[in-house]
Amino acid sequence: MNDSDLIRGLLNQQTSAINYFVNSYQQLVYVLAVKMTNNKEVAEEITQDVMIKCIEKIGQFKQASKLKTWVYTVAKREVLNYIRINKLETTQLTENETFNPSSEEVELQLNNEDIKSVISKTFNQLSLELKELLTLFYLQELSLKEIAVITELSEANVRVKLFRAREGFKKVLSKKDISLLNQLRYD
Amino acid sequence: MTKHLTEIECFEYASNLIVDEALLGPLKMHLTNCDLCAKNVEIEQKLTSDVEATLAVNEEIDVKETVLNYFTKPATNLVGVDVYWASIAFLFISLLLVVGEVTSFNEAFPQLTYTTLIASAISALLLVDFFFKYLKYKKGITS
Ligand SMILES: [Zn+2]
Repeated sequence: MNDSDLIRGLLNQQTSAINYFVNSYQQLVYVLAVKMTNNKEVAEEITQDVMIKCIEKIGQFKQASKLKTWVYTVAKREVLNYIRINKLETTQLTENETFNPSSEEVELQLNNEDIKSVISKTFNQLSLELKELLTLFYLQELSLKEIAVITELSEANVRVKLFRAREGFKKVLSKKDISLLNQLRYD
Repeated sequence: MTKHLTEIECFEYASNLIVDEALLGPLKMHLTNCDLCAKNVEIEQKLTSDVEATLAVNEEIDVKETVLNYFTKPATNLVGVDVYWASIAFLFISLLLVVGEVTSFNEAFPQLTYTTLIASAISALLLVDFFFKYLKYKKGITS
């Protein structure tokens, strides 16, 4: 089913179109919601709401952008609304706080599990904006252009933010912040 | 030999963010000749796969049922409600008419002599309402 057939079907709320739409987009929305809320039940609830909203408001979709980009934009708005209304706790530190390795830097050989813990811990401390950006980039295989449209940032800005987030991961991974590692080991 | 890749170039090269051939060509050329930069790009690629593997979401969900239910319910409800109210109205009107026929009742409550008129008015309103709801429902299915 191509996009214009799908949109026509959704406008008429045909079962086949709804099925096709949900099948194609639910997982993308779910992944974004899980990464941003860090809560699976909430993410599933948000996914349902996003699917319903998209179908109800399909008439507002301007065919200038891709359907996928539009779905993400709706999803992002819904996630942020949910977090705001329910005062959901998402760990938020400013970039400086997050990416500030301690002065006591030690070269450490990390095993795979350590690497994963460090990456996921670092990720969870990022701002919602960066979480969104990294999810779109690493998990959703979107082009820079598409990410820029969804995040409403310029492409250059997306590049810079991706690079900085990357540096953050690298800093904690290469010259490990020893307190973070201890924290991980005794968690 | 051209100059070494900067950190940002290593990252962008490893992440396929450089699409401009004019920039990509010289970088590729340099990488074939420079072990140091090739090693750095390799480290970047390893980090990308580590980040992807860590952030990956493995659970799959299926919200089709809920979404479909949401969109099919209102239509059936609309008809259901109308049939329900139409039956109630029908019974109510019959009752009024029957009561209106009872002479002693009319004598006891002269203010209700207009029952027939009241009944017709109510049924007319219900019919109009039913008709519009039906149109709306039909439009929802066929458009
Ligand atoms: Zn080099």
